[in-house]
Amino acid sequence: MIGIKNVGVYVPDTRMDNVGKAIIHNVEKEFIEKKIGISQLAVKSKPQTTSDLCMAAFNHLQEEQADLNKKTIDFLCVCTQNGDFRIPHTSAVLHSKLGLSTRCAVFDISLGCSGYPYSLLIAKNFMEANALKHGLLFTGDPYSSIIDEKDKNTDLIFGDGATATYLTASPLFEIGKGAFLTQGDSYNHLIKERGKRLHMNGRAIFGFVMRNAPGNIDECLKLNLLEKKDIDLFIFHQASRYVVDNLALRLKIDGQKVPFNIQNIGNTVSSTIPILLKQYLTTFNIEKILMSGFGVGLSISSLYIRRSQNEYS
Amino acid sequence: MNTVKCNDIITIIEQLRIDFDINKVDVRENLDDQGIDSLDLSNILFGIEDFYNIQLDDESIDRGEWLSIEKIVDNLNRILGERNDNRTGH
Repeated sequence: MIGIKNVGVYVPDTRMDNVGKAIIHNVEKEFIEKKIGISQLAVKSKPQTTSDLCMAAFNHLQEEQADLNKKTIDFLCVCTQNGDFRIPHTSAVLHSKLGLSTRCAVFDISLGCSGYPYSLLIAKNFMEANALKHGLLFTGDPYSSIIDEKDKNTDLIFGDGATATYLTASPLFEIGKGAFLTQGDSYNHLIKERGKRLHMNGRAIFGFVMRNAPGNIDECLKLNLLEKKDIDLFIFHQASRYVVDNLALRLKIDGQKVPFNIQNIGNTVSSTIPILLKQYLTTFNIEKILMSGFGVGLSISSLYIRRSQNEYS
Repeated sequence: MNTVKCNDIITIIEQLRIDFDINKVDVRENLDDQGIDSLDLSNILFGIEDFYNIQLDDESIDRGEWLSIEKIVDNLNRILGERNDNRTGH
């Protein structure tokens, strides 16, 4: 069964002082530090492309995963909405940079903050259906290139980063069932139109998440024959501290089980979940994880993963 | 139909565990002028939507029509009254 073997992470070294923007946006410093929960934003250099960020994440993965052999990679997927080009798909560019086999299946997935759970399930099922053995799933959505610096709704939130998830038939985590929700008639609440900067109606997104994510998470638990108490860790998309805390509150989940880790990075869109997951891959008392992503679409995806028992034996 | 009162809204705000001394609230004054930030205001409006099972009009929020408790009460009574009229066929 295809599952998660390891995760490589890349967060640019350059940091932007987010708290220092309080005056520019006419908000309290405490609001940025405690409510949004993001003191610094990771920012890529201007020339860095999405595929560059993904390459850096792959390099991290390769440093940790000595047995990762590029020659054996037969699946590559990039989840992004800010690719290197409009055409072709960024995964093709990455395929070239990595020097992978021509027999490798390669495609992009266009999703934002709900992208990682979606992409994991797509990758798992695609690989299993086609007897593929070694896959790379990338996330990378550098919003710094589409932010309006005058718009506090976005300028105080998003950071840059990328991840590379190694998928194999001998995983650390097996992938369970997922639950999905889309409210397409609200797509314009988080949108980047041609020739314009990113627009986000924070109130509408907050309402969408609070109204729909708890039910979607409950549905995911039911599909996997689980209850909230069975879950060791809830990895929610790291939108902001306020969103994560209020979602935990509405779900009546112990805050200890709902980590928040983007204080010095920012919201890296589809990368927040795998960046957080990386922290717990080798925390062996964490066996059952429920992840949930939400945002662009507007959409929600929740997915259950469990530590592989084979890994112990 | 019971009309909405200021205390009903205060009760909703209390349940949201917002870091704000609700006992000192001035129902006529805008909430953001009393120290409630935009995230908490969003949370309050969401809590109201949830409690009364309504969807607030984004434009009316942007126009500042939901900023004080008195305004919230007035708007809610109008919206709920219209909904009640529709249900009873008036």
